[in-house]
Amino acid sequence: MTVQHNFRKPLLTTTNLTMQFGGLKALNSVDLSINEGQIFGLIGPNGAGKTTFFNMLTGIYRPTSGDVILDNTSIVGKTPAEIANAGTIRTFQTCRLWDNMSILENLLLGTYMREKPGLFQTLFQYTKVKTDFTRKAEEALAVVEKFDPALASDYNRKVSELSLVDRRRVEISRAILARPRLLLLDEPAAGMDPSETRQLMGDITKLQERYPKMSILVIEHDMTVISGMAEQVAILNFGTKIAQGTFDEVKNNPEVIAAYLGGE
Amino acid sequence: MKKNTSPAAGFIFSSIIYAAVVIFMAVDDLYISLGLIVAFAAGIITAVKTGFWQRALGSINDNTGKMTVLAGIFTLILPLLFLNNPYVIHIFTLACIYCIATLGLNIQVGSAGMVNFAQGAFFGVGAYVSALLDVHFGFPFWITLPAGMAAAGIMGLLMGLPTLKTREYHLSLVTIACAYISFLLVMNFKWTGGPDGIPDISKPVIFGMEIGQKITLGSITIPGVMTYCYMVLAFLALALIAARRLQNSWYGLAWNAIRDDEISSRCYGLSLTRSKLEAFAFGSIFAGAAGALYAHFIGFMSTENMSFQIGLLLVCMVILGGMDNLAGVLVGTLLLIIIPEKLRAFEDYRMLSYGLVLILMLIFRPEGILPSKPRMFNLTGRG
Repeated sequence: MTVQHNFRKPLLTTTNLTMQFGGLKALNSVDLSINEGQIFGLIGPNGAGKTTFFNMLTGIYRPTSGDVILDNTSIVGKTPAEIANAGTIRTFQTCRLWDNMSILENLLLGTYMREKPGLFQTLFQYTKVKTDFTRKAEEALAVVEKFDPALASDYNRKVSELSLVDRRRVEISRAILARPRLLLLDEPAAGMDPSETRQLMGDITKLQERYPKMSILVIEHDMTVISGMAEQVAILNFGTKIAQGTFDEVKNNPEVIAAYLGGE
Repeated sequence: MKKNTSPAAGFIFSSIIYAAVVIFMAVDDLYISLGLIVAFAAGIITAVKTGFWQRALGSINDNTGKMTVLAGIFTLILPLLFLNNPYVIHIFTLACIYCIATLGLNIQVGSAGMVNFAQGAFFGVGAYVSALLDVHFGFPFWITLPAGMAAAGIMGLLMGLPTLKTREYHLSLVTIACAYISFLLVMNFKWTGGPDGIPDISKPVIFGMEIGQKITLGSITIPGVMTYCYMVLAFLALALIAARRLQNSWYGLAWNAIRDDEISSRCYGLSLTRSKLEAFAFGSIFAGAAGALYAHFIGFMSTENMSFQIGLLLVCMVILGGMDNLAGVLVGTLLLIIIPEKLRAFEDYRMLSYGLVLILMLIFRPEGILPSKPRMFNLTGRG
């Protein structure tokens, strides 16, 4: 189960977050609060507004109204790059890797926001670039190795040749290398079979143990997948948050059963 | 780099290619040239079919260091083989000048995925700034060249700005517009010489010696073009080193990332604005250097050397050779300079044949003659 902390402060808070596309309210006044070091599950059926929510947290969409506070600072109106620099890193449901590049190149770019050699060193002190690459590459491979040692030994392979599971692993490793304070995982188990899903969820739980201060927000449409790992879950349906609590609490919420599990 | 193949195949392959190129350059007759092209094409197809091509390329890739030395030696010897034929050296020098421009263009087209048709205009800016400073103010080449490069870089930045909101085809359209605007401006300004161009551009001087002048050593006469050729080769070497370092650096990684996926790149803290403007500025600096070298080489600069056609030709060279592969870019440039020179009889069909080459390449080998590949890291104790 989840790791318990005595002292927690909220890392991310959304208030009245609303996104309107023309006549459609994709997200309607959602309030959420995620604590430091917490694994939080956001679940809901397809089209509930989960990915829209992520797109607002990362600056890809600008919310119609409402606010997103990351560590006491509003991030509304900031660019995705600025938000990434503030510590929010996401993965994508469709797994957006840089397809023409190798595993290692993808992972290295995860560290892009850290200090790195500038133009002068690139042109006139190239050995500095080399040592910088080597150091970061070693670190990158150490991260991906935890998921799958085969990926770490085949690091020059193009990511477009990898299986979906391996692409996900590379994508999550790349996100970890950006040293996020808030990691957003958009349906990490999409397209995986049950045993692969179990393994991945185990890996994610282990991440939490390795980086205890990092908060993780996981989107899933399959409730059972995150039942064992999320400390708190919130349920979205048609853009509205209908329940929040521990998994067992929301599981028995009649509204959730009606709206989501389809029970009558 | 991992060394798992012997360099032998690479050596043999490079030597054959080199010999073929030398023979082709030496031949004057149109029909023999045509025959050689056919024979060469047949040879390449045979090599691909028998697997020798792949083996040779693998061998070259695994022995990059040795192969670079070999290529350097081959290149340095080449002008010496044509002591009695300055015209060939002239063509070769032109090809090397264009190589500098295409190395820059490759940053935009190959690395960052922005097909820029305005590289001819940046070439022109470098050439004109350098030529005007020389002709009107008498500045030496060693000042006008950096000035031309800087001017082209600034132009690149300025032209990069309107393209920021656009992508892919729309971006290319914007660059075409930029190419025409620069062309028309230079054509219509008085101080640029307008359609008459700028004549009498002086040659560079090193240690009191004018580059591009005939040297007589006893019974041997070294044609003037030879010294200029070696100077251009020195610049090409510098350009190659710079291009290679940029490619294998955080800049290159960022350009490849924004080429592959803009949204993903932004979510990892890459600034599209910054990366794209850097690609435009750096690429244009290369073009500016090439332009200045060209103007002082020919001694005359006019608008037809910076037209949209030049931009199109440069894009063809990059696509033919292999986007984001420096060796490929050089091969593409050499081919598209040397072959048309030998087939001057078909001059009228030149633009048509560029179009044909581009279409055929995009159908049969869209990745170019030498496709790009991921940067090969070799970490000790792994793999």
